[in-house]
Amino acid sequence: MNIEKIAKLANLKLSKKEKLKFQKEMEAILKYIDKLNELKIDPIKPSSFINNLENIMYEDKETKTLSIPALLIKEALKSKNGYIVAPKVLKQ
Amino acid sequence: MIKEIHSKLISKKISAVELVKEYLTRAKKLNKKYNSFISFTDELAIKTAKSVDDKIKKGENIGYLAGIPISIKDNILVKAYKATAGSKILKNYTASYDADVVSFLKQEQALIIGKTNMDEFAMGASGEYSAFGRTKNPINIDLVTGGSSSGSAASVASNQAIVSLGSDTGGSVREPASFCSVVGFKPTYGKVSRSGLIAMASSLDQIGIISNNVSDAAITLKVISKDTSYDSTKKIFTNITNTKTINQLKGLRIGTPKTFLKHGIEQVVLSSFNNSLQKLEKNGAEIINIDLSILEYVVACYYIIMSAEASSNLARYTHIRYGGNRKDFGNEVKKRILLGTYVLSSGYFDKYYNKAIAVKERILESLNKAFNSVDLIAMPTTPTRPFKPGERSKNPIAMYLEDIFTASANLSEMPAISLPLSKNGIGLQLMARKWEDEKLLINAMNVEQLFKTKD
Repeated sequence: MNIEKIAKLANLKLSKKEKLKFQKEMEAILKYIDKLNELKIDPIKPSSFINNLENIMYEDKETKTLSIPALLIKEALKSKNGYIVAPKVLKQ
Repeated sequence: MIKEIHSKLISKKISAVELVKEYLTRAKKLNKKYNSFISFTDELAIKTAKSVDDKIKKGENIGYLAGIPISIKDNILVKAYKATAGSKILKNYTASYDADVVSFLKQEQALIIGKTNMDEFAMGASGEYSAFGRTKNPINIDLVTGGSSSGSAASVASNQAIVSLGSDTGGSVREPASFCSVVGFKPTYGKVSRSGLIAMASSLDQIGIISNNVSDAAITLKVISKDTSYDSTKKIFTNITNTKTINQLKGLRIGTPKTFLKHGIEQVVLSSFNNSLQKLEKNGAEIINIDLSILEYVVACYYIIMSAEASSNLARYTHIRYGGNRKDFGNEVKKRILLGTYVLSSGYFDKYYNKAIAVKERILESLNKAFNSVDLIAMPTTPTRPFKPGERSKNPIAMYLEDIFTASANLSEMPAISLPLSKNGIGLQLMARKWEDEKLLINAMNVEQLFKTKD
């Protein structure tokens, strides 16, 4: 297992120490889950749900949703005068 | 307990405002000891309590949950309050809408008093993996509470709340309930809407109930299982069919996988479980040995499916959408994201993910076959008693094996309940067929009578 490749696919930046740690722990877990290979069954096509539910949809009508944009602005890590403060992208 | 409080409220022996203030004061005081809450929702609780009192004053009818102090796991959204899911990455996230279950509780005028501590993103079986510190077990603060709904179980066990809502993906409601000697119920997948529950593994996640007794769980289920259109996996019950249910222990057929239970289980847990079966038999139940040898593979199967789904569900936490940095995920979360990414990566998909899906079908078959000859399946809830913090963190497999008796209910979408067998954290788990939640609860009430641990 190539931990660097997996971390990249997972969008995780790992420190050197973390890479070593996770490599070791993942190998132990993979060794454990390899136990499934004792079972002689063929992989089948993935099932999704066994509820047999079909097309549960809701009416597309307007309902009262987020009435206060201020609440959303507040969600940002940093805001000022009703605007979201973000790091500069352009160099001066 | 809910019914007693309800009658005190309607007979005006206590007011809802007095009650909620008493609970908030106690919860805040005990929180210093148990670390069971991440935040409190005083304003919402007191406002709702006032309106309950007004209704009672006017002589209007109120539901059983009206005026009942309830705590909510911090991965379930309560509008305008923080929902951290136990993670540093969401420490500043405020919910912009109510989860369906929270809307139903608000309609019923239940008193939501606070948000409970949990393992980060519901990943953990001990309550140690929260970014806000571990929850301590009210039975003995030197022991873990179990997880991931750690604060929910601790809050009910220490009377900081009457009932709590948690979430159960592989045992996260039943396991901490067992470790804290309270009742933990995971309904059938699709019984309760998950709209507003922060997703971990979507094919397994279910909102569950932690309470002091089965009757309180049944009352709460009725409220939170209302229909909704915001969760497409929620089954809409157009007509409630009353299936014939044996409401007595006599003649109740309880299956148990005797051979499977021989290994990897703490002796005191096994003997306590066997004693409970003898007691059930003495009271007229029929104990039947069933073959569930497939459960040897349940943990491996569960960890593949869960981590695969979690890795894609947690892909959304980037600084663009939620403000946090992915570096801020805790170790356990990172590990499961990595594992999930690996089992889904090209070249390994068939070996791991598809294989696990095939094993899941096999587990379902075995359970269905067993249910041809039994009404309920009994197992211990966990293979061990509550352990000391740090004891399992060094060996991830040992921690994962805590899910061995609980995960099959999630993989098979069946309802399961954990009942306390003793005051020191050993639970009896009963499982029923899919959609037989009511049957399970009725029978669990009868079983509960035999093992009363609370006065």
